[in-house]
This record gives sequence, C-alpha cells and structure tokens, in this order.
Amino acid sequence: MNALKYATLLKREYWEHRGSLKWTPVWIGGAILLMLILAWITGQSVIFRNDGSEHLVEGGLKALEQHATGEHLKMGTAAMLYGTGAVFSIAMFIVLIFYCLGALYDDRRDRSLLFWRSLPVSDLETVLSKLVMVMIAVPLIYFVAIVAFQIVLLIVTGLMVLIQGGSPVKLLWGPVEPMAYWPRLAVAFALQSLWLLPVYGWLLLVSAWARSKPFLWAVLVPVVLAVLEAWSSLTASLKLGYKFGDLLLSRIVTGFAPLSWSSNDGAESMMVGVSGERYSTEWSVLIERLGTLEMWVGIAIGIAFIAAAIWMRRYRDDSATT
Amino acid sequence: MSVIRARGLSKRYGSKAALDGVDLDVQPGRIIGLIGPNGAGKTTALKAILGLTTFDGELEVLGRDPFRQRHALMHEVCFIADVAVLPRWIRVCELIEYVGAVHPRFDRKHCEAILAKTQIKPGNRIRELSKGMIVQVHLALVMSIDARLLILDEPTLGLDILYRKRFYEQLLNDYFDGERTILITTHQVEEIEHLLTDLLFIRDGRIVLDQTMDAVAASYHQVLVPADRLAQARALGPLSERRLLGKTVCLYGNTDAGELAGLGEIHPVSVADLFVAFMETPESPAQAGAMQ
Repeated sequence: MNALKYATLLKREYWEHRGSLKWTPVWIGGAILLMLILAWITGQSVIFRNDGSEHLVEGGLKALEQHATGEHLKMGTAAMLYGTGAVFSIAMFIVLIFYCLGALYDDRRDRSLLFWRSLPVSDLETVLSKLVMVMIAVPLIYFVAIVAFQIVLLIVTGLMVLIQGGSPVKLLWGPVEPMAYWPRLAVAFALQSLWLLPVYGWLLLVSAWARSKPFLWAVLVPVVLAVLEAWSSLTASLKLGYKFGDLLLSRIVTGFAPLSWSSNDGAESMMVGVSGERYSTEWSVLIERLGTLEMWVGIAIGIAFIAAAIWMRRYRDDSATT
Repeated sequence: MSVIRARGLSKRYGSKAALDGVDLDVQPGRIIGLIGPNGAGKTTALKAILGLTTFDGELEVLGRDPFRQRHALMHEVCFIADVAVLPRWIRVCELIEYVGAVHPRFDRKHCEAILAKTQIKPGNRIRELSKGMIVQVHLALVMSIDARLLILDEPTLGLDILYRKRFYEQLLNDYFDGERTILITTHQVEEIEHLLTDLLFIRDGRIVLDQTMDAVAASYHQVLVPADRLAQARALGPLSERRLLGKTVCLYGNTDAGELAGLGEIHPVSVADLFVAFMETPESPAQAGAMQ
C-alpha cells in the first residue's frame, strides 16, 4: 500500500509536468539532430553546386583518419558528449527552477489545494514527494534522456560518416568513450542535487510562502541580501554572519554551468575530463567536493529551507475571509 | 459517540470573530444543513472541522483533533468544498488512479461504474469538462470512498437545475445509508430542505438554531392573519411578520398550535422563511422565543 502510495505521488508529479519532463528532452534532442542533419544537407548541396570539390568532405574525413591521433579523436568525441549533455543539463536546471517555484504555489493559485488536502496525504509527504522529484527523479529522467539521445547521435553521425565514405568505427565508435562519460555524469548529477539543495530548498520555500509572483520573490530576496552583505562587509558596521544571498546567487549561477562547481576553476571545468588522462582526476575532484565544508553548509541550509516550506504548507491559511 | 463535537469553538481573524463560542454535537446518520448568510462563519466552521485552520476552544471530529490529525482524519472524512477545486490539468483516469493509491477506502471499480453511466471519458482532462461534469467526477470520487462524514460546501454552485437535482438524488439514493453523516452548506436552501434531518443556523459566528427537522416542523408555524386580527396576532409575539396579498404572514415558534388556529390559516414553515426570520430580527429570535 505505502510503496504504491509513494510511487503514485511521484507519478502525479510526472503527470502534471509531462511537458517539461517528457517533451522538453524530446524537443531538445530533436532540435540538435535536426540542426545536424540540416547542416549536413546544406554541406552536400554546396558541394554539389561547386563542381569538382565534391570530394571535400570525403577528403576531410580521409585526412582525419590518416593524421588525427587517437588522443585527438578521443577529445573530439568527448567534446561531442559533453557539449550535448550540457544542453540537456542547462535545460534541466531551468525546468527545475520553475518546477520548484510552482510546486507549492500552483495548487494554491488554482484552488486545487483544497482537493489535494481532502485526501489522506500529509503535507510532509506532499513536500517530500516534490523534493524527491527535484533531487532524484528529474535528474534521472534527464540522465536517461541524455544517454538515449547520445546513442542516437552516435548512430546518426556514424551513418553520415559512412555515407561520406569514412570509417565510423575508426573516427567515431572506436574512440568515443561513453562508459567514461555516463557514469561521471550520473555522479555529477547526484552531487549537483546535493550542491544545489539550498537553491531548491529556497525555491520551494518561496513557492509555499508567496501570495503572488514567486519568481520575483525568489530572485529579489537573495539579490537584496547579497547587496546588503556586500555593503556590510565594506563598511564593517554590520555583521550579517553567513552570506545567504551570496551563497544562493552563486549556486544559482553554477546550476547553469553544469559540473562547473566540480572544479575550482569554473570556466575551465566545462572541458575537464575531455582528454582521457583527465577522466581519472575528475573522479577525485567530484568526490573531494563531497568532503568540503561548503557542501555540507549548503545541505544544512537547504534542509532548513525545506523544513520551513513544510511548516508553511501545513500552517498557512490563505483565505482569511469566511 | 458524536461525529462532531465542539465546545466554545472560536476563530478570530484580526478583530473580527468568525466563530464565537460555537457548541455543536452532530450524531451519526444525520444529514445536517448548516445555513447562514455570507460571512456568518460557515466556511470557517467547515475549515476547522476539516483541519484546514487553527481554532480556539474544543473540537473533535470522529474523536480526533482535526488540525493535528488532519491527514489521518481524511481516511474517514470527505469533502467537496467548491466546484472548481479539481486540478484542471489532470485526466479523469489519472485522478482515479491517484485517489485509489492514496485512499485505502476508495473503491475504484465503483467509481468507474458511476462514471461509465455519464458522458465523461477516462481520457478527458478536467479542463475539457463542463462545470456540471466536473462536479459529477468529484461526486463519483467521493461516493466511492467509504467515509463516515461527508462535508459539502456549496457543492452545486454555478450548476444548472438538472445537475443540481441529479446531484442530490444520487447522494441520497446511492450514498446515504443511514450510518454516514452529511453536513451541507448552501444558499439554495429550498433544494436540500426535503433531504435534511437536522438544521443549524449560524449568524455572526454563533449557532442560533440547532434542531431536528421534525422539531422544527412541530414548533414553528406560519399563520396567514387577516388585517382585523393583526393586533391579536401580535400579542402572541410572532418571530416575524411579512405582508402577503393584503394579509400578514406571522411566524411563531414554541407557540401552541391550538392558540394559533383562531388567528387564521396555519401553514408549515419552510426553511427559507425560517431562515429569513432568524436573520432579519435584530436579536436572536431563539432568545426572544424563550422569554415568552
């Protein structure tokens, strides 16, 4: 009974967000493939118009086969995986922001809250079901989408290479290392859920609390806090303790740069692990993050926000009129 | 054991008392109409009973504190708070699956059988349905839950007369079994009058009438008084007077029917007339009646 109940609470979330959980990944994957195919066709037509240069693509592929080292090909194919994976990850973060903001707000706005609360589901269970979606189910869905998309991508690009007379095994399927990328992506997603817990917790709290315009509140409060914090540290006349605003804003930013937090240098880290030898170092960077104080302070703040969101959901009384 | 038991139930919003010391005992197997004007505290009372708001005083629903044990209480209490509360994005079949999974007392087959007799398809989204159909879905869900207390807060608001009639017919014929308790609030008093067993009037946060329908019929009378006997009629202290086709309709409570017979034609009191009498008088007529 209970397992079915909890599974159905998650299912309910999926039903409500079918658009962003099912169709968004499909559209992204479709758009990338479409652009690829269009570029390929455009390339073909250009080649056919310019008489005599129709061997350009074939020539290029031949050159790659002859001159590119294994290391180059590995880097190239890894960039393909990381790049397309990043598009999905960024989309996922945007989806999650709006998911959190709507999670405890939409049903208050459309007054279905009373219906949900007429059923024997506690507010704790409701909020936790949404948190499980945000931290586990949605990343899992996007992870599966990335893996599925990349398999299709490798097949399609391989066929293109084949049609152009190249060897997909030598250029693509041989050097590509999905088994080095996908497990790292899975771990990175798991760590990202923990790293962004204060952001998700904050958004859920605003969602449970705001009477209107949750997005505005969610952004405005940390910005104002950050300004106050910056000012207080300049004048040193006021000590605000931990920098909440700063923490929230910086983590929101890292949410848009997938895996950037896994290295100390955000900008460079997009390419971390591209070359074969660096894969091994990245594991340690990922695990190291788990041991940092920053990570655990964030988790503690996130849990506090979520507890406050549960409390809000339980005790707030929207309709003060009879 | 009372289904609902309240002692000194109060709720304030700022300086305004929405509920002001309500005492209440609702027995099982009753169909109670909670009637009051807007702002009298009906919705607040229902929200307190459903555990949706905090309150002062004592309140037990099925032996539980509704606010602290809301989700446990919802195993045995159902409510239709307003027609618009079903989420618009959900499909009917998803709704049934969801309720079936979270509610141990829900009979899925029963619900599907009820809906099979309607125009509603399992694949329909709530937003695709008319208001009347949405209420049908909600009623089908509620009727498939083996609950001990059903609370209906303006359940037929905005529905046409056909749906309203069908709603109450279904409720009475297919749901009410003499053991369940139903508490209804509505402004369309005439439509539920015949199915009530008990009547509660609420005014300014206080219960001003709490009687069975039988007791109401026995103790309240309307007399059609011709002009020449009006002074005599007024001496008996009617609760209210109104003019009707040159005669005066006087409403009496706790007055001997034999005494009234001399004044004119006696008519039974409708809930609507009684309600108007109770709400229009400056002080509570129950107290005025008790003084006689």
